[in-house]
Amino acid sequence: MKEKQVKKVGKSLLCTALSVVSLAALVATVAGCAEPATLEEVQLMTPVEKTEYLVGESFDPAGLSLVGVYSDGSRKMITDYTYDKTSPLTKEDTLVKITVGEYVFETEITVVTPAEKIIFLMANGVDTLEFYGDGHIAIVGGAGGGSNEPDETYWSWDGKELEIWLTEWTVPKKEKADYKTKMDLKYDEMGNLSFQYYVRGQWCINYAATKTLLDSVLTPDTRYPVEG
Amino acid sequence: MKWFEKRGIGFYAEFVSAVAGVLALIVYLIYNIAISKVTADVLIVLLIGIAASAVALLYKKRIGSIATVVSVLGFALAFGLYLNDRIIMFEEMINHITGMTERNNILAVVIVIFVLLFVSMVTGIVASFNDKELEG
Amino acid sequence: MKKKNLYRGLTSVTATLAAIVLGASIAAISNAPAINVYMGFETSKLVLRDDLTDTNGDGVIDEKDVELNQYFKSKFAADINNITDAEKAKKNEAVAAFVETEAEEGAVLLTNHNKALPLAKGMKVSLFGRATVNPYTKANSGGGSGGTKVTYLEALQDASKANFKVNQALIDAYNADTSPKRSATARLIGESPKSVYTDAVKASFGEYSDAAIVLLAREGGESNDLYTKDVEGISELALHQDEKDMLEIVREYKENGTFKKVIVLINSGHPMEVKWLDEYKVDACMVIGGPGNSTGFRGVSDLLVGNANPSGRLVDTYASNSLSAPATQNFGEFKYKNYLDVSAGSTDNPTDSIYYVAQTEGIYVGYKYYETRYEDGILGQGNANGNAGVFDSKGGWNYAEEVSYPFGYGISYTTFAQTMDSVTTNDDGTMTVKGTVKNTGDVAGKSVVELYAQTPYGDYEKKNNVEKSAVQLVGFAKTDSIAPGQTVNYEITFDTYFLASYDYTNAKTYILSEGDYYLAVGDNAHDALNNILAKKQKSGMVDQDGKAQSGDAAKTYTWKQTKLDDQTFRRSKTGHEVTNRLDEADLNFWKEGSITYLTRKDWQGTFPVKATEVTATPEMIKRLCTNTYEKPADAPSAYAVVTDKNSNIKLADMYGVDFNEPLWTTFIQQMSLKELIEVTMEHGGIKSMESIASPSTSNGDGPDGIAGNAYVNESLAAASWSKEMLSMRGYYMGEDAVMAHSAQQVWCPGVDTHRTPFGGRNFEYYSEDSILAYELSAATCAAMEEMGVSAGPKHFFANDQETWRTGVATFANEQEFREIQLRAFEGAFVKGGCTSVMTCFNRIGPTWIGHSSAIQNDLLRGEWGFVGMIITDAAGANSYMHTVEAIMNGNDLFCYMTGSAKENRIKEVNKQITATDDGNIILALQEIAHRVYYTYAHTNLMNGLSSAYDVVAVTPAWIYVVYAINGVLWLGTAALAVVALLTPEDKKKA
Repeated sequence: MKEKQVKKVGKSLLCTALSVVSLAALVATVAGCAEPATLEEVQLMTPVEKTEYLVGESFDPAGLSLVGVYSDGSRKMITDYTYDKTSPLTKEDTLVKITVGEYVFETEITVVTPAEKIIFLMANGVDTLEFYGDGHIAIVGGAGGGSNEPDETYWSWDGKELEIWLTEWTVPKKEKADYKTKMDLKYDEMGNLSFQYYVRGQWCINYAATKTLLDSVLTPDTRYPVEG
Repeated sequence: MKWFEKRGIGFYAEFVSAVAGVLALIVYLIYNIAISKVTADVLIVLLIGIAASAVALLYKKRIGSIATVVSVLGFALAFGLYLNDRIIMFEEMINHITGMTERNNILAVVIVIFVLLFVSMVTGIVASFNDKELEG
Repeated sequence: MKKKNLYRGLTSVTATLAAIVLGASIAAISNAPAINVYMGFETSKLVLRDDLTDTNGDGVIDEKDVELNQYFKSKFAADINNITDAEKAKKNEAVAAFVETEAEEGAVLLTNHNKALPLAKGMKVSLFGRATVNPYTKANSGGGSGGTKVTYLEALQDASKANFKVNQALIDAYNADTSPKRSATARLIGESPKSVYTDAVKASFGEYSDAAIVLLAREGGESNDLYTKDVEGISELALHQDEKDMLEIVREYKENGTFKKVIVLINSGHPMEVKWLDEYKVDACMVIGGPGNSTGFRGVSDLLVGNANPSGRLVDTYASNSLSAPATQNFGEFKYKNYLDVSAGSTDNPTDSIYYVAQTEGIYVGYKYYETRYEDGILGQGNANGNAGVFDSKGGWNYAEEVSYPFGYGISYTTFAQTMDSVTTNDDGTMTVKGTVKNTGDVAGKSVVELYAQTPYGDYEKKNNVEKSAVQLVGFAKTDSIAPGQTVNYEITFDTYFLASYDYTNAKTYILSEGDYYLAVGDNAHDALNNILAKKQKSGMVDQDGKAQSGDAAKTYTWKQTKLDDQTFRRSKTGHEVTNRLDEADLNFWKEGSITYLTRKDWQGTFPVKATEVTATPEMIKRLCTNTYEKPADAPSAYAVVTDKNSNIKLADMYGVDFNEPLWTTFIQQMSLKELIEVTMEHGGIKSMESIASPSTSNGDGPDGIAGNAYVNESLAAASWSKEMLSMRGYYMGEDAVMAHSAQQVWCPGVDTHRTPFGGRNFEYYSEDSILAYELSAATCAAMEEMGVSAGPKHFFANDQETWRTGVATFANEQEFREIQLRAFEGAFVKGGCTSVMTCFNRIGPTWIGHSSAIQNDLLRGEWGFVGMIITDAAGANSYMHTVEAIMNGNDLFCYMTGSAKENRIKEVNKQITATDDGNIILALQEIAHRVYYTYAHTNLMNGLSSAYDVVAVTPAWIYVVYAINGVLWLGTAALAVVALLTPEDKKKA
């Protein structure tokens, strides 16, 4: 008799345990599927690509991506957004508002005249030369800033020839105006440009630009510096 | 071989279990001494398993009965602890980088040891379910 | 079945189950950390500290109520968060005194006839050389400025030091000289012409005649290599005409009895030619290197009058002719023969793609060349005495004529005798050499014990192109000051890994060759080799002057290895496989047989007599600018990767959290994609990040000083051969950083190789030898890391020239890379524990290092176990550094990112993420942020950044489940056993 009872007790315990577990599993699954997920937050993942415009261009939202975060933890792309600057841009336009429901994202833009625009860059590791439409060159980067003084750096393009003038420090000069030196521009057989410049008179830097880049901005019809 | 004749399934199963255990011990010792990697825990439980199976074969009644279960326990522990010991080796095989923390492992030998231990375990279980003596 | 049997059987079954599960459980729990990481189970959590009260009375209990922590302290400051000016001044005083000793311990005395040095205090001296008024302190590069600057003249006239009375007429003459000054950019040595020595000036010599001290200077710099052929058409390191004219005048006034002594000081971070010392009757010559921009010259002053006894040793071979190193032919500017095809095939700037350097010298860099060729000459093998590579020998190649002073050379105001007494092999893969050093002279001084090894060069090595240097440094030790007549013991322990050679053709890993091994102590590399040759019972040995030497076999130890071993070092200490990773950096990989490496099988036939010409194959051209990263098929969508998820964890809370803790994932997921990209754009540090409450970080630059103090040139510091000195250097730099609460990541030390004497930045790298760099950089890095500075050795690796360093393709075989350039860096990582690294501008083979997963992930993080952040050299808008390609191949930060260059790189990343919906890139950026903030969380950035939370260990649920299952099974077994025991035997049926 004892063994039978032991067996019965054992069996019943096992059955109870199994049923409890299955019930719990069922409840959990049901609970999980019951409610539809709600939108909890909209995040900006990548900003718009173009932030500098010429006067008269229209705002281009390309590159913008927005993510919706839902109550169940899932994340999805959001495509229905609107923005407030739809007409041609003026210099006063500095902010574009992008709206998704009650979420608003502000994107800063700058609208410039051709003179204020950076036409092209020549780069190396330490510094970047920014060539502006109005003919001045800014040296930005690790050893730059300060090497512009005295501020006698400029460039020009007359449809045929490019001229670059930077501040040369390596040899002491008498007058401030004499520091401005014309760079010795070297073009290789393919038309790629490079020249050597001693930043702050010490670091020998090789600046370069490909023919493709130059041809795209320095055409026979364009002239720099521009007015405006 | 009178001692060996007219015995129940349980006896023969226990016998095979004992022999497999002894073989496992021999292979284990030869291999691991050669590569200087004897792990005490595996060795001890394996010896317990063998000793218990000897007792199970030689003694009847209660002691022999208990010894049967103890021998299975010993072999099973040897199997389990050896599994733990060899985890590193299996990890390496999966990741295809051998010889990382240990050298000179011979997979074939390790498999042989596992097989022998498995046999001693299973036959020991069979022995547990059956009489050592014939009915009637 | 009988009931008893049934229960007994069931007991066995459950027992078996329990036993197997037990074994598996033990395995699982002992591997718990790995399982937790793999499954992402959190093992720690942040718990608000219960001892906090609202101390600042703002109604909230948060980190503002916590006392500011002092994770990294200074010995000079009572409270690191409130440093007083007085404390700073005291620290700077200590640094100034330390820099003096750096200069003292690093100066190398080359000759000292008739005890010309030391001079007496207060002597009246004539100081020659234009460098007297324009001494070389440090060449142009980052860092190494600050502190009080003491000039050469001030130091020599210092009353507490040399107290010399100096010839003002001569000084005025130099000051009045308008000829072009020394210029690293114009490659002018700037010595004054002989016209400055007017009769009036010469008349002044008589009064200041105790000694003529000639100061000669040379200077390179960042982006400026020295010229092998300068404006005068000779090596920049050779003696120039103006210098010769000056030395002739000095000799004239010595021979006529005016000057009692002639002392020459070499004030240069590069080895000048010194074969002319006897010609100009120079009594003593000392290399004072570059004493830096602060108090180093005070040390020179002390040395000149014997307040300090020179104890430095050369870190480079001083070759008789500076052009004679085999690497020099392939040093400088080389364009591919078909460079137009390369430009046409490249979308990057052509100047970043068309230059290369072919390192055909193999392992024969520096003394490894001169000493090995010497041994082969003694042994009569390898056509060593041919005339290929002859520069100063009159006939065939002759060691004594080609070398002025060997690597490791340096004498003293006293003399020493060294012994080698015992060699033991230890259990942990190291060997220990013990011996004694006796001061056999009359003044106290320190001595350096140099330990060299020779490993066998046999048939296997010859067949498989495993080159062997006749000697290589394996260990060294510097004694404390030894009194005259006293003897001290020394002990050198080194890793037997240094005895292995890299076999890149056959075993493709490190091997220990079969044959006879030798260890020897010696006064320098050549002396040690002569001792080994004596042990091998050879004859005909000479010293660097050509004097016959018998060598001393008593200072050697030999043993035999009976079998080639290609297993012991097949795995690194981290367990990672060590095998070929740089095959593509060998030109023979792209075109078989295109390069013949210098081999000791045939010096005559393989010495590079002219530069190697290379034609880029179409595959090479493609590799120069191709991106290898492709979005994998199983990459998650960019939208699905969790970012911007606030969990209220601040950086301050993460101090002390282990790198593999899943808590870091939760922490980093708080950052937005914009912030993640911003992290990679370094500019003097990284901006503050709101989502993780990280303050802005601050980075420091310079092997010669990182945060407001100037130290001596690193090459001068290295010449001390003292691990203690280099450790102190790291400690003081750490003090500079922690007291300035800046320089949390530094680009220091400089660890590239003096491949030739002309490398522009050799002054801020250690040596031509990799073990000297290995040990000394380890000492400095370890000391810095302890002070809360993340040391980032630079420029990793093979940036051994400045010419076209941006984008130049550096080709060599893997034996040279591993044993020379990489080995130099290895110590900083595996022994010094550095947690940052700055990579190089150059390519390794055709691939820029920032794009190489093989180097950054497999070698650096895998083989060497590096955990930390990798930063590029100044990235700016360098066209050949592709942003996404670098991010996906193991690079973390881009250095010097600002302005439009930075904007363009950010745009590039955003564009690629959205264009291909690549969440993999975001995951990589998160891993970068993980490495970056983990590293910064171990620096002085955390000083004062207190946390209101404690990090508390949490046991993940699964471990409890494992215990429970085991409990159930064993209880079940026990229960069944009891039941089986209690069940009576079935009665036999009658």
